[in-house]
Amino acid sequence: MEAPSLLRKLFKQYYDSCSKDDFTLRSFTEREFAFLTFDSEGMIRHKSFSSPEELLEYMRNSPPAHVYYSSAYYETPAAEEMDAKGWKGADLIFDIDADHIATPCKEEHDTWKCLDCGAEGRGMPPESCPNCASKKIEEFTWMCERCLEAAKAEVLKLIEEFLIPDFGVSEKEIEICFSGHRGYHLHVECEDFRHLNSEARREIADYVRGVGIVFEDHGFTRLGSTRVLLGPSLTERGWRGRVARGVYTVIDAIDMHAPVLYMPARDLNWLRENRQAILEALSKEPPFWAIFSKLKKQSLKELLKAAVTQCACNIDERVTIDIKRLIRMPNSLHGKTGLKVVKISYADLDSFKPLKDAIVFRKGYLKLHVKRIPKLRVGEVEVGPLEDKVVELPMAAAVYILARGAGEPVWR
Amino acid sequence: MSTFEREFCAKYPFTETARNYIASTGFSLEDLASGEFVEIVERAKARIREAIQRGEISTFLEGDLDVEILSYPVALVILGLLGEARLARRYAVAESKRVEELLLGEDDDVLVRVAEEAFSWRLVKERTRMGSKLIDFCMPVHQFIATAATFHDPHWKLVNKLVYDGQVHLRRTEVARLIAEEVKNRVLVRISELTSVGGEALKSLQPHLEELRREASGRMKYLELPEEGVTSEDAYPPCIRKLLEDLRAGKSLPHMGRFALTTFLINVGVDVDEVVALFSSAADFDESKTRYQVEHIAGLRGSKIRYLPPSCETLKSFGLCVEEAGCGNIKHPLIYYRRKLRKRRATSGGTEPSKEAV
Ligand code: SF4
Ligand SMILES: [Zn+2]
Ligand SMILES: [Zn+2]
Repeated sequence: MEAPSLLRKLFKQYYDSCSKDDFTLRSFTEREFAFLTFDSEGMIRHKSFSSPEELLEYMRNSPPAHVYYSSAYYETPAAEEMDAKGWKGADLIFDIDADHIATPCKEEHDTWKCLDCGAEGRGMPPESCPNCASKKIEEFTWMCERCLEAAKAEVLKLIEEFLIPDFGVSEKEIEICFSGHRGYHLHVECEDFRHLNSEARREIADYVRGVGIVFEDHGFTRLGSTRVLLGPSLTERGWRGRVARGVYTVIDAIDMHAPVLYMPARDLNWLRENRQAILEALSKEPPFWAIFSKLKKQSLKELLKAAVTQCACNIDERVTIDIKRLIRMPNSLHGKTGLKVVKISYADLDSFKPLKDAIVFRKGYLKLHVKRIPKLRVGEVEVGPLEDKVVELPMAAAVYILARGAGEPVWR
Repeated sequence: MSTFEREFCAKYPFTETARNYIASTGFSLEDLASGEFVEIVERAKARIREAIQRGEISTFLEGDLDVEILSYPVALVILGLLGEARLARRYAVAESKRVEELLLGEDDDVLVRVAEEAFSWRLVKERTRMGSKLIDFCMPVHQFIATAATFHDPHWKLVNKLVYDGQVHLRRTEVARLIAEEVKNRVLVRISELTSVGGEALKSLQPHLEELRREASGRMKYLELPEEGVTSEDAYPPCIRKLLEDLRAGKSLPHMGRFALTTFLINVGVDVDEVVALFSSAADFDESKTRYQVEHIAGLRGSKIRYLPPSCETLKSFGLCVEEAGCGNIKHPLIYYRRKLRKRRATSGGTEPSKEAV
């Protein structure tokens, strides 16, 4: 048996063990469902189901590799033409993925290869090949605890810095899902946002990403016609206080931030030497921003920009803006990892361990021929790096490697 | 209803109080045929005329308030029947200016009332300190962005507002501007819905329609084209030429790109069949769907409104402008085209050979 058919068999066992309650969704019948299978390339789209039972039945009969539902609610979700579906609204969704976060460990576990010229490299894949400028880049990305922790920190930032204090969303309106691979989805279950078009959603995305900030609008001005700088205090709400706190954080850890602060050495040294005095000036009420009057205008701007980067949340804005997105179904399995898409409440997020809690196949061992893997951790098991080896592994790790396309089962 | 309330209705005829009042008078569009309501029709025409000529509309509180109030829905009906997108826009903008000016002179409570009655906005008077300044109002984030997202000024971006607890904090002038913008949006929607009336009413309105149409076309020539049916592709602005090129190369255009190209071509006089044929090279071409969309844009279907191409500013914000520095001081692709043609005609003595667009 080849990897895909083995995975299909295992996925079926999983869906056989599920109950219909695992697949409930708000406004279930107004959603479009879509599937990718193990044996063909194309996506099966425009499905709709009358109940979770019916969906489960479908998944048992033809076990899918990936299951998606539409963030949108439709009049006729099964209509084939997008225009004929009758858009009624869509959930507000945020996608946070380790793919978009620059973690140092990516150098250790991720690689890429140009499909045109064969150039290879480690870490985050470039947009286009540095050798031949081709955009056909194949990525080999792996889950890793540190990357997932970075993604989780970003989710917490989104909730605690933006959704609750600024957008006034309550804890119980927030639903979090581990995506089954390298990130999290966050749904805001609030009627108010449901009818917004993409332009309006872009405003939300830009807000959390800190895109397009005009510092003058947040109180950074000069006093009269002097060079004396005025600015918001650390305790203010919204982006005003956030920029102020961002500056504080950057100055506080100035040695860490210095390499990315693009300013003359003179200004950078001044910031270093006066670190303590600056921190005190900023903590005053009202804060004494005039302390920065010595800085070149451009350097100050650079500092403020660094503060925004420090405070902004790294979401994939395309997902938030798209009002017809397909989202991975909670409690379904991710066909490229064999892990479960897990719903997590805000309260449980802190203790959630994706590489343990999302594991489904806990029983038994499997012998497989591993092509090439970096050092991996799945559940309690640590494997790799391995290349061209036959090994016997606990089921979850074996399934993960098979699903990544990095191995084939070996049958005696 | 008290005079004070009727004045409120005359000033803000799109509010719930005004709508209820209009309903209570028992006035219906069919009555227009009876001649009894000449005054209302005349006042409605005056509104439109003022919009055409000055881009503004005054509020007339000295005469019969009922005439003033009822002239608003009648003006919208007339504009709906005229089906001229340009005129509708100009009118909507003028109405929104009128409202903005009035609001700036009102008490805070009136702003709150208009916002609530017209759009169910939960606008609240709440003093907040922002640095050394005080701001007076706040409203829910989702209601704010639903309207403000269409502004291109960076100061209107949500990220540049003071936002907390789900509320956006706004100055009085900003609230007036935001309400006015939403008035503009709703007026346009309303006009696009009002495309037919009963036979009798239509008959009695017909002469007025003709009259206004003439006046409008005289006045609003600046967007009109020198000659109909003559198109000259190399006078197209760079953004449009780029879209044509991409389309011919078999690339699929983004939604806004399709819209810009189609509206532009229709407005320079390329006919529907040619436009449809042009799209046939696209990978995702569906003849009947494309034809439907093009006819819609040409004003042959649905709202019967012929759409104009978006302005340079809009094209820029969608990344469709290909001239970083803009094309001179041009603000609209159609103006680019018109100037270019005119210049060319001046230099070549008006013997420019016409070229097919497609
Ligand atoms: S400035 Fe206007 S006309 Fe010129 S290229 Fe840009 S969008 Fe086109
Ligand atoms: Zn290459
Ligand atoms: Zn990592």
